[in-house]
Amino acid sequence: MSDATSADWGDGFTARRALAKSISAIESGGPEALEIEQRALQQPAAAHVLGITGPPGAGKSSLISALLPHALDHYGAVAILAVDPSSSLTGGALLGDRVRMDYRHFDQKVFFRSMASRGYQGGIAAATRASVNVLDAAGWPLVIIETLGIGQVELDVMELADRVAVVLNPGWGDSFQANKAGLTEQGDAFVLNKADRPGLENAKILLEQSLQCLPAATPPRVFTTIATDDEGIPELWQSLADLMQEAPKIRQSRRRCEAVREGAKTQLLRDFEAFLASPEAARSESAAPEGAADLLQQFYREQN
Amino acid sequence: MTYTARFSVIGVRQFNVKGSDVVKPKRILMAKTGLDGHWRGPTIVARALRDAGFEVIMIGMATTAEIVAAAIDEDVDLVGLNIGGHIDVALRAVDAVQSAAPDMPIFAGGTIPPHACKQLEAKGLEVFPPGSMLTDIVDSANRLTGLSTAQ
Amino acid sequence: MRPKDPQDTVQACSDIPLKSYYTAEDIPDSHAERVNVAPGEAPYHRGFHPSGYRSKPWRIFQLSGFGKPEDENERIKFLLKNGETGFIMEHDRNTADHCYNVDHPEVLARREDVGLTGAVMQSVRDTAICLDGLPMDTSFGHAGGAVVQHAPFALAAYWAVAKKRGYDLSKLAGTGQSDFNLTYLGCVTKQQIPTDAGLRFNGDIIEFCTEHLPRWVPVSIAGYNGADTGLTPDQELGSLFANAVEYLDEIKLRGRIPLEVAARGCGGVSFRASIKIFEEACKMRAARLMWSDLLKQRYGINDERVANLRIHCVTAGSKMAYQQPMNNLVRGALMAVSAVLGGVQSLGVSGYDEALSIPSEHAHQMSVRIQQILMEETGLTDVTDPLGGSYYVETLTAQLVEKAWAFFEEILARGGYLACLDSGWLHAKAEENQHKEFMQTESGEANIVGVTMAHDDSSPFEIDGFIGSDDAFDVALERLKEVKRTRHEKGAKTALKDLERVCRGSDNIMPVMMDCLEAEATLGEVGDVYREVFGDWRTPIQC
Ligand code: B12
Ligand SMILES: Nc1nc2c(ncn2[C@@H]2O[C@H](COP(=O)(O)OP(=O)(O)O)[C@@H](O)[C@H]2O)c(=O)[nH]1
Ligand SMILES: [Mg+2]
Repeated sequence: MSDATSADWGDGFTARRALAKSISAIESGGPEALEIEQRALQQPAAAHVLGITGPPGAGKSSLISALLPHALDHYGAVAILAVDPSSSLTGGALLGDRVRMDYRHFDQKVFFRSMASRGYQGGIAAATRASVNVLDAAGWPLVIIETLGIGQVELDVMELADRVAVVLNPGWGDSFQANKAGLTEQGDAFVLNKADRPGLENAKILLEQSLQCLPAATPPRVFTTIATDDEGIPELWQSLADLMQEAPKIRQSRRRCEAVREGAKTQLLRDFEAFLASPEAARSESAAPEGAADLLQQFYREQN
Repeated sequence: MTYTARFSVIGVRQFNVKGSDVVKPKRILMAKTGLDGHWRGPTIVARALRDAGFEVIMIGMATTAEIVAAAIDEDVDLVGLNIGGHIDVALRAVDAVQSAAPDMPIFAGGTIPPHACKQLEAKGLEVFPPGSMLTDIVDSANRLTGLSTAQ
Repeated sequence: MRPKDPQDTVQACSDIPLKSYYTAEDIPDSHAERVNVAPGEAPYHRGFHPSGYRSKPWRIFQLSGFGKPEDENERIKFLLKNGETGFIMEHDRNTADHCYNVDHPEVLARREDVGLTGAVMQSVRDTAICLDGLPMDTSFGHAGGAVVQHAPFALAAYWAVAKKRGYDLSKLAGTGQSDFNLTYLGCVTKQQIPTDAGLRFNGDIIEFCTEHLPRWVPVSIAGYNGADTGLTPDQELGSLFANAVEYLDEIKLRGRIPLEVAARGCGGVSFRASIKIFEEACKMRAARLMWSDLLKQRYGINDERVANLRIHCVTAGSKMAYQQPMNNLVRGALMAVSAVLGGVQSLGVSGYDEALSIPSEHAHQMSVRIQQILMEETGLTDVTDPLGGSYYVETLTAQLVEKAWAFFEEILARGGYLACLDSGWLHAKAEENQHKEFMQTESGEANIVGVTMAHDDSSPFEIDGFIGSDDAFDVALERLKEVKRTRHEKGAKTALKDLERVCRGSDNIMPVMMDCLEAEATLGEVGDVYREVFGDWRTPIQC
């Protein structure tokens, strides 16, 4: 086992570096990543997870920065995972979410990690879920996830977070006409940030109308904020904190089940590949899927 | 000079559960030690590094404590310092990073007069004063993060 | 650089294709008549005075200062003794540009940096030390305050010292700049007031000067700062006039002073003089033409004295190389030539050690000497607008005007110059140009002597960065304590309260700023009021 897998993620500076290294190992993927997450799952789930999603430039990072002092008051410590896109051409990325943070609130009680999507298509990174589980196991009571900018397929954060806030700006209706429906189904709370920009009233009416159409008994609330001036932030936080308290346990267990399922799946795959490389497989002539499945069953029978 | 060609050598590195044969993109921190706002240098260098396949974490003007905290949390493979002010401020940041993470390499650029270059080099940094070629900076990043061993 | 094949296209920096020679046919029809205009005639691209430099040489005007106020004072005196004909006060960027005192945590974290690029002046006492013995009454003084949020403080400090010395403010000549390009586009500060608050400051300064300091240039838009951040010459022009429109529209909206007076106040600007000699000279000619057209067409101002655009030029710092710094003496001289061919009124030449540090005494002296040589020995000053009538120069001037107006219109269509700062649109333009320029040198398409070619250097001179003084921080901290201990505390606090009240309302900020300075309120205290009332600008860039 490497440092990253056996690491003590508890309090203190060394632990912090170990935690960061564990997340790197998760990002690298492979057996070590699985091992780390499985170890994390041995701890009971305790963290609250808040997702912040919305189009690029809506002010997600700025909002997190503004919410941070409130979140710290409430939870005592906060971890943030901020996802930005990787270039599909070079694999490189510019991760700029930290620049929006007000470092005056940063100290040992804030853990901030920038994450590149590395080709993963769900608005987060492939490593995000496992990182959340590790942060949870390490005792971080609140994890905030900033997604990379919403598109139609970026629903993964809903699987991960206990609550999701969707951030939009005045004028959002112009640019998001097409996927309005998909968008409005995502949020537990809606934030019209940049309320200092023209078009606020229209945007609000439009949004509330769309939300009325949802099947839910009480449609999610709409907040207006100016993240950069702290306007509307205390109210937003209060409501988010309440929502988190009442969050259905289902999401929490989903994020863990998913981890277990993926662990199992990967384990099976790996076994199978080992099997394919084995003399038994070499003996076989069948390459068709059914044949392969048969072979795997046979392999397991032989193992036991 | 074959700028693009050199960049594309690194190619696409994607996350892969199998994990065995993929190269993990290396992560670089880009910070400004001074309270000056010259952003062209760090921006153009960050862009070149991104185009070469690196993940570059921008933190702008940061104090020593902020630089160290970011380097640790982000678990970067390399720390990049843009130095626009007095060298003693930068040296303090270098010392702090080196004591918090002795294995983390550092490289630097910006307005660094010759006497200051020597001080940084004495601490093991690779230094790129004005006029440095981006290809050389990318080469250095590859070398310092262990992606290439070419000198 | 020579193209590989003579038939290859060669582009001007403004993305205008250049022919290998020009004839009368090339001059656009729109410009053909203007070619025959004489200097002193509208639209003034050929200059405002038929006798040009024969009657009035340009002002030798060098950015200067570092360390303690007395260090800066000494350097300014040195430059004046060497032939400078105006003087510029440079303020410390850690404190001044951010309106912090030296005991602010962000400054404490970088204490050695304090004073590296300008003197620390936290109260009127410091400004008085810096100005000790300087010819404020007879010389054109630049009070510092290049940064918008710092300008009211710096100006009030300068004027308070002048008043105390018994000078008549209404006779005082000078400027304070207060330029948006510097810190909203060029060097974005850690913290500064939002652009709308900045526009209000500049409006207030223009109005205040109109009433009390008619000879003062209240604000001075620095195209230089946009250009050296990456804007091309046409973009430098277009954005500068889009910026001027913000000021003039604001003054018009307020309706308190005649627009002509405000326009005259806005007509002292600065441009970058870069290394492409003809394009840069054309830019200065284009600027005068555009200003006179803008005033006429948008504001109906035909007054000749108002249309007189006064241009200060600084040679492009970014063309000064770190490698083989002696080459920069040549570059400085050539860039200065482009400015003089363009007929500018004021000039600063960057030091040969530009890429290493702020100028050493010798580098500074050489910047003055270059200008003196051009003025005294070369015959450049003999004839007004010597390039006038050249097929090439007239064509390029006209093409620049056209491209610059297109850029101007694009900015206005995007909500105006300030909106384009807020959104980061101008930054993206600058960055894109930068990137392109870099790719050209990286690929070998463009060369820089001593950097990408001709690497051997047999210069016997060893040059290192200049470091002015090592006690600027300690002395500033002492003086800060001292002024707080010995000033009339109640007076200072009252003035600051008044300042806060005015900031929250809409009265002119300058009278109460004068009270603050005279009551010895400090820079950081004034900054605290701003931060409380105006909050922080939302920086659109990620660095
Ligand atoms: C252009 C410029 C500006 C532009 C802004 C450009 C911008 N947005 O970045 C403008 C005109 C606005 C400006 C303003 C000022 N400037 Co200025 N500026 C310059 C100039 C001329 C060029 C800098 C530049 O952009 N070069 C191009 C970039 C790409 O090069 P670079 O930053 O050197 O980066 C290269 C390398 O250094 C390296 N590199 C850089 N960073 C990093 C990081 C890493 C990790 C690595 C590996 C490599 C690396 O790679 C790059 C490619 O080769 C320099 C002098 C010079 N010739 O260098 C002065 C200079 C930096 N400025 C200076 C000063 C003093 C100022 C002002 C204070 C002046 C004033 N009062 O008006 C203000 C700043 C106000 C503030 N609040 O900060 C001084 C700094 C002195 C010092 N540190 O001792 C200099 C040296 C000029 C001088 N001699 O006085 N400036
Ligand atoms: N006018 C205005 N600008 C804002 C507001 N919130 C954020 N911004 C700015 O919008 C830009 C993008 O913000 P950022 O937080 O990085 O957005 P993200 O991409 O969603 O994370 C930045 O320049 C912010 O300063 C706001 O409430 N009003
Ligand atoms: Mg963001």
